Amino acid sequence: MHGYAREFAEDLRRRGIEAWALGEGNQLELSISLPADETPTVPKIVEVGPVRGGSFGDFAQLCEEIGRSTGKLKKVELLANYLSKLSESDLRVACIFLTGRAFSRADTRTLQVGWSVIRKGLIQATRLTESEFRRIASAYGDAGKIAYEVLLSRTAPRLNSLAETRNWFERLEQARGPLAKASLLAEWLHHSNALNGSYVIRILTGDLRIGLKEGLVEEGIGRAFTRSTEDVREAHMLTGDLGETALLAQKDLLTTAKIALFRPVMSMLAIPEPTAEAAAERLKHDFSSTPAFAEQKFDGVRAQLHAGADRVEVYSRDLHNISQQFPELAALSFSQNLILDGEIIAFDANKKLTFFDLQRRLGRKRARDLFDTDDIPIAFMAFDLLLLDNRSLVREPLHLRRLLLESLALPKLIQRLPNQVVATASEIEAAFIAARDLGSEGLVLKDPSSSYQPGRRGGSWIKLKRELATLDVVVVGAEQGHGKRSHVLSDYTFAVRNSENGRLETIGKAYSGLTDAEIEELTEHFQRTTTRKIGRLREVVPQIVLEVAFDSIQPSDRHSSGLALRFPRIKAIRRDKSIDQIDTVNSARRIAHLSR
Amino acid sequence: MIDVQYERGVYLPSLDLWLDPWDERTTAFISHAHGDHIGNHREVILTEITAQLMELRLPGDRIEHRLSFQVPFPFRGAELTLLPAGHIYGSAQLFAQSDAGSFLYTGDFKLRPGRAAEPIAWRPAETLVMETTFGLPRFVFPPTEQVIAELIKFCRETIEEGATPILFGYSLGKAQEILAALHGTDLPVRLHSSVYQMTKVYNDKFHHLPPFSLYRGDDLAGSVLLCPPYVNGTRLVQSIKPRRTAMLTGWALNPGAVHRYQCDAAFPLSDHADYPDLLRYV
Repeated sequence: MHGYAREFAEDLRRRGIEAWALGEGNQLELSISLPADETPTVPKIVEVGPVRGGSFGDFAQLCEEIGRSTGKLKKVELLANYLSKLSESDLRVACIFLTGRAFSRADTRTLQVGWSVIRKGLIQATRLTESEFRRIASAYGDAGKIAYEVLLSRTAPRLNSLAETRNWFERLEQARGPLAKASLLAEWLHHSNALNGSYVIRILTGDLRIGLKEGLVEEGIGRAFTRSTEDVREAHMLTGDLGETALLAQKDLLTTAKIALFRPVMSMLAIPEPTAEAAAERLKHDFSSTPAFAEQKFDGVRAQLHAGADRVEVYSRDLHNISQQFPELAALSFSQNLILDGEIIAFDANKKLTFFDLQRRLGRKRARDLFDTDDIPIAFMAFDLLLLDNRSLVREPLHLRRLLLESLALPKLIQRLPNQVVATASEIEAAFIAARDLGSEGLVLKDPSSSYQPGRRGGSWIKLKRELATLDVVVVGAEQGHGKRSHVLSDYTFAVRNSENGRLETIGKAYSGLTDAEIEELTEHFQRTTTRKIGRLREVVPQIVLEVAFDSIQPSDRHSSGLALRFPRIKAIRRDKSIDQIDTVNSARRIAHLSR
Repeated sequence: MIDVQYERGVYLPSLDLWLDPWDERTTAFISHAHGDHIGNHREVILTEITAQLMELRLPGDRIEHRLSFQVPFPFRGAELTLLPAGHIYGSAQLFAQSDAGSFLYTGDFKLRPGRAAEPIAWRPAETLVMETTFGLPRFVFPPTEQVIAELIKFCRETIEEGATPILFGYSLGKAQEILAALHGTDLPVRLHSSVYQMTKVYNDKFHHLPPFSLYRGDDLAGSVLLCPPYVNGTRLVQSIKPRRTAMLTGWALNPGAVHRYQCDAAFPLSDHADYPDLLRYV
């Protein structure tokens, strides 16, 4: 067995020794009979008594129905019906699962289960051979569908409740190492029917793929408990936990939701405008008080710093804990409990550092890569204060938050971003030019009387950037390059999201812009996350977000989005962004002036 | 003759015993602690060392029969004896004797004496199930001494040029074999964390391993760094400049190995038997 078993067995037979290869397709010659109980039979569903509370099967059924229904209203109605009947604890679990996660957004635990573990788990659960598995998997592009086909009538299902499923996810999170995780997964899948197993896999991959965005779940919660969607959304932004939000909705306590230490909230965002005139126009229109505050827009990493009595944590805009990447921030001590919003930039008083320098630090995700001794010095440029001494400030006006920020005693590594007041287009233009001369990316204008609206690109912040022509896209396919890049995956096909149906639609392909080291790193990543190979093209799990610059966008029938980027080049790997934050087909069309 | 079946692992129906199965089974013999041989079976038969290594890699509750080499163990009407396989530390072959006949399963093995594995032992059996990783006539490994001499030369020359030699070998087995090979060369050896963890278990028994220490990203000047193959091409390796890399594997005999592994050199140092040794074994 192993390696060249057949050849070696032939060789031995030629030498007069009776020998055959095991595990080959030539078992007939050895007349090995497979044990009868190894042949797959269609197992019966074992009824193990009624499942207490909501069953995971009901949840999966609901998801199927949502996936089949096309209208947004219909989806919301299905959700509301389902959610209104659940017990408190099931409501909490179901709402989190509906966002395609095992744990809430505020919960920083991660499962560390990638495609290779899923693949191993499916193979173990079904006793398929690698080649049988590959044959099935290659016919379906997505992990959930592969799981369904693979598990169909190859398992011995039991009924599982939502609570049991949630407990199992916790055990999976605690298990150390891919082997242990795969083995837990195999055991669970072996006792799941194809549909339930498929939804477990979908949660593991972080996307249910039923055209259900978080916004719709929020609407469903509002509808189920007759609360306004706005209230649900705001409470969710503050708690970062849709399960907890649903409970608050159920008990009519949504307005009590508060920002809290070590529970990061989504960053407030700004609406982009291309010129000072357009910004002045919007400012006149949208702001409730003038003059506006103007701040430099740094090219760094948006971050939230939470400081408690004996602990400091830093979170990225997609709510990941990035304290490990910035140990000098985590080591600071503050005299008061507080939450700061700001931008981490590469900063050295003696030399000019750029976003590229900072990127080098961001790439170091794993602890063992934190070895580099040539650390890039940084500074945290604070521009907002969301909590002070356990008083939530998010509903206070910006001028008060700013005043409190100015009054704080802060460590040297934390700098306050200076601000000035502007009102007219010419003042904005002057401030923009001044900011650019200082090396900033542009300018942000803020309404002094506005509250802090987490995750919203509302009308209270406006940004003026040097160039608009970049899109954040996700890589869906990778190919080997040519010439010196023929041994690495250097050509990437990427996609934006269609906001109507939630699908990823391809929009272009780029070859250039990354360093050799980045390409090698991505090659390793894409090899690990390949779901299917079609000739040279590998379909990969959509995870890596790229910022792509281009000259223009044109209509095209080559890509499924109906658009193509002209001269696309990769500006940066956006490790701080997740797939939820990529641009949409509509925003690309807007840039192309094809529609509004 | 003891009946043998195969279904993603060798199965002995008369003993209801699986040998290195790929899937979770009720009762299984685990020949050694490499990732493709261990699994979460309910009841396992293995050596003390394999059990310790497995505990590190795949913790879990299971019934363990930790057997010593050459000591017969009565099992379901037969007698099982574990024999050293010489593949890696703790690796075993399984010899079964019952009224139906005798049977020998080699697991992975090598005949060449390893510096960090027990020397192999064997006995004749009616049925032999063996591994054949390198079962083609072109796989003839050069004498180990020669390979090691070339490896040491590679390390010394790299250091003389002011670069860091980085050697890639599996964290369990190969890495310790390399470490033992460098014994007495005065070359300081630093280990990648996953190699370090496995080597600590080895060190309890093999006192002729040279001193080694964990690499924490600090200065490597004048040292040899030992890493598992999968880190090649990652930032950890790329941050070390200048460097020269070498892969240690039996597949180094394949043409184009250096290119394939994207290393500066490849040395045919294997934990498996080569073709002539496979024939000798039979």
